Amino acid sequence: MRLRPHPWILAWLVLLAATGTYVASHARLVTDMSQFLPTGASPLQTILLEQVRTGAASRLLLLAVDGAEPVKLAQASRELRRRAEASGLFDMVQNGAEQWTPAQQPLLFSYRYLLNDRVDAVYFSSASLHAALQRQLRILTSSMVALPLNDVQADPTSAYLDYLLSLRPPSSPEQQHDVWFSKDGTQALLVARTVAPAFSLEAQQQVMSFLGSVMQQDPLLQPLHLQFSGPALFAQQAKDLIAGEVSRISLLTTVLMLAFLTLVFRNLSLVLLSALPLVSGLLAAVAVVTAWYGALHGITLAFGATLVGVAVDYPTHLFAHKAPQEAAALTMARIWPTLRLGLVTTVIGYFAMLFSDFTGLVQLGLFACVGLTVAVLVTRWLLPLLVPASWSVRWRGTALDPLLRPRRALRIALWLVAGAALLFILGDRQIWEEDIASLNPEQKAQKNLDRHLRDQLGAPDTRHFILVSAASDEALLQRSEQLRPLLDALVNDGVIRHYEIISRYLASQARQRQRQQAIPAVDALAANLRQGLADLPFRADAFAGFVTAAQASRQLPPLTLAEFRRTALGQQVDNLVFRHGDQWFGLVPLVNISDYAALEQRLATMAAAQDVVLLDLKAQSNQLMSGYRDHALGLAAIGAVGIFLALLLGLRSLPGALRVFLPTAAAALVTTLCLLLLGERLHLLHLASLLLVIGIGMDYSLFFQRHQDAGEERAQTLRALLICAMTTILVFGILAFAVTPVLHAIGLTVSLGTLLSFLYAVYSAPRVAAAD
Amino acid sequence: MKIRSLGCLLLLAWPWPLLAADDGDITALLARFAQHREFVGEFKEYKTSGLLAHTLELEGQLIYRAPAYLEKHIHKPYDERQIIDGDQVILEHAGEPRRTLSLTSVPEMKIVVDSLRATLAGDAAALRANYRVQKLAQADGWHLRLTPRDAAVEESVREIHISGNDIGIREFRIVQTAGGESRVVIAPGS
Repeated sequence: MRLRPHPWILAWLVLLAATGTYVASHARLVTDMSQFLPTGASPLQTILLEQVRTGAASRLLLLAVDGAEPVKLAQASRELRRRAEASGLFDMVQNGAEQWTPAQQPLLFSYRYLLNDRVDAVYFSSASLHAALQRQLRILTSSMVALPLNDVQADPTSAYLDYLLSLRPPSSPEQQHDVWFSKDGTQALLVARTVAPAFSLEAQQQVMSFLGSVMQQDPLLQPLHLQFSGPALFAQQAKDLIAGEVSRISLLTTVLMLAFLTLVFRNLSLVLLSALPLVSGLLAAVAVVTAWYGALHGITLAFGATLVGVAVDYPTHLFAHKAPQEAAALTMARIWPTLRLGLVTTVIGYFAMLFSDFTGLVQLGLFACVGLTVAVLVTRWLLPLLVPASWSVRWRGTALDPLLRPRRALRIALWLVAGAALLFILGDRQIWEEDIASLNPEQKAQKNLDRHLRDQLGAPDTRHFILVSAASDEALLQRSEQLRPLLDALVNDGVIRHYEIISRYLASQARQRQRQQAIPAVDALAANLRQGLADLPFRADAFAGFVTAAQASRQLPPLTLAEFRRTALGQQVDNLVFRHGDQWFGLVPLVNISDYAALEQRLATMAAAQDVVLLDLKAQSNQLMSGYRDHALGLAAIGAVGIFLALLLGLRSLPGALRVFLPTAAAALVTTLCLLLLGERLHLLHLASLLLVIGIGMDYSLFFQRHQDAGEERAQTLRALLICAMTTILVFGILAFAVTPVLHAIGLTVSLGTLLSFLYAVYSAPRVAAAD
Repeated sequence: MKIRSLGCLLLLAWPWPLLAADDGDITALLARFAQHREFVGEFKEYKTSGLLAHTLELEGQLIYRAPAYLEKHIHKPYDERQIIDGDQVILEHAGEPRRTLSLTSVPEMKIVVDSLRATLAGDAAALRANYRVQKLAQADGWHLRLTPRDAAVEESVREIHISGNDIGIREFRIVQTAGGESRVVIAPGS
């Protein structure tokens, strides 16, 4: 290749080098969906989302060990817990082997009368004591092995045991050999909480590799099999899955595209040159978005890849329209008005996005505008300098030409289909995907495992919450206590199955003092006990320890939240209470809601006060997403008007503008129809891909509508369009087979859309004059 | 959350049925138990505890059906049926709702019950897996002492004694680690 030291080439090389250096040193990819979402939510929502994103629940890992006899699995469970605790990677590891006897938990045992919800004045009456002692007698009589003597003597009313039992969820895990097991006894279960936040993918990767190496190296854990699940793992796997698929598919498409273009152009240099606009455009777009936002979102980049579809078309137009021995600059001069109008109309479609409030859409719009503009500029000013006049495409596809003649019947059919598509889309209420979760890669096995483990461990899902806020921890505990009668009534009425709440674990100091006052003085209590023992076969002095312990409870300072969190139970309330600045928040996870409307209605009285809010996280993020989508749709409509105006200005003819606009719009409509018929539910990325389809279709129609009468020109255009369409369909057709929903949506929409755009551009318009 | 005490509460006394025995070694003794597929008999139980001023007395009926059905029907001092059928535990107390639970969810109880079933089935190997089994001298008949191998079981059960004559089991005694014991005397039923 003979390069002339043209100033534009130098300028381009310098710019390319500078941009490349900048991108290499600054570009940072973020995959966190919440950063891509709008921040217009209420401050409370922001705090909650933050808590859900980084709080205790998001750092949970559920683990299952299987592959051996229960005895061996139990041993493995203990070993895994020991190793995990020693690693420093976890701030909590539980496997059911926690010890709760009074001797092991002296602090909780000593506070039993202050922690137990049933303690009131009646609790210590002679009648209540008599009933409790009868219960003890029955246990002693029926069972083979009684409680340790000391514990019964000090706690004949089972205040401590009852307290612990009251904390159990309705479905707590099975136990074998003192550790948690799945119901079928094949898996030992553990729960661990990582120190690192879920979104810190590097730190989470460290956790995963720690678990992997422990399982491989520890002799006690061999040859067992470990499965685990948790929010962090989901994020990690989604990222790995998308990254893996993107690299596999881009490698495959690059190879296929190069092979196809080589086949068509019969010239490797031309093939390499045709990549220049694309590479320059992508680099520039990444650089500008990074400079503007500090980081590039994964979705923006995934979308950016779709620009390949248009950017490769620009050099193809140049090469395919170039006559043998014609200077490339002359060819460019011929097609430039069309190319320019094509660029302007495509960019207008994305330009509207720049005025969005949503960061994500602005990023997409900016990326597309910059990328396409740079690609066209490189095609316009650089490529003609690099393509010698002697080069041209030796087209072997002339046999196809007769096929591409306009046909009246086909034209009518195409317009009928377009009309039907419009009616169908207008009539279909179910065209939008409302579930944001479906945008994540389908990890069915992982989701099933997660559901299985949550079910076996009795862990609540993290979808429905009540959020309680207060100015202090004590105020929060008191407010939570006020909520409990209502929540208990909801459980009794079957509206919810269960709820977790901080005040199940720890009473407010005020209530603890009330309970202290309910404990009778020593003489009165001793008298009540004497009366309670009447007619029972117990020794008169059997429960002397009880009177002493109850008296000691009266003198205890109420247990504070800070102290409670240092006990063995403290870990379990970490995701139920958190502090944000001066505010305290209590999370109340709700399990198995059977009647959401009833729940809302009955909470309304409490929620009328601003400090109690019912939240459905999934609905909220879906709401955010559909708001996002509707907004994008509105912008796209404005963009469409802009495109039409640009066409009108560029072509200076209303029929001309309509001849370009209508086939493009029809192709987009029929693409949408096909997507719906294929069972797709549309979301934001379909919408963005349709914008691209419109850009592509506009180019096709524009090229096709010029020089109606020139036979050779028409043949060249047909060639160019055929090559463009086949390249795009090849690349995006492969993407359509991706399992990652985002990639699949882009691939399917663009490949279908390109095919239809081609059909509509070639066949839908009546020819003004026959060339043959 | 692990509540060991709950398991202890539910540990039920399971007497062995009357079984023929001779002076052979333990395996031979157990092997003869295996021939008995069903048993029904009356029992009297005597319980002592540091909490009690005097010994508690219970009486009722015992039923065993091979391979996995055990029933203790208490008639006095109240009416209560405790049934273990396979992995299912059923508790019926007069005037209260019937309760069921999984034997697996109460490991201490399971290991005791499994050992009892092993004895009834004459499976010496299974019995030895959970207990150290010793044969003690006894003037008329035989006497086995079972000591739990599992530390968790040992926290509640110190040892179990089973004795009988050539007609079958006459008595078993569970000595609790916490103090106190339970002695069950069996009379052949009709």
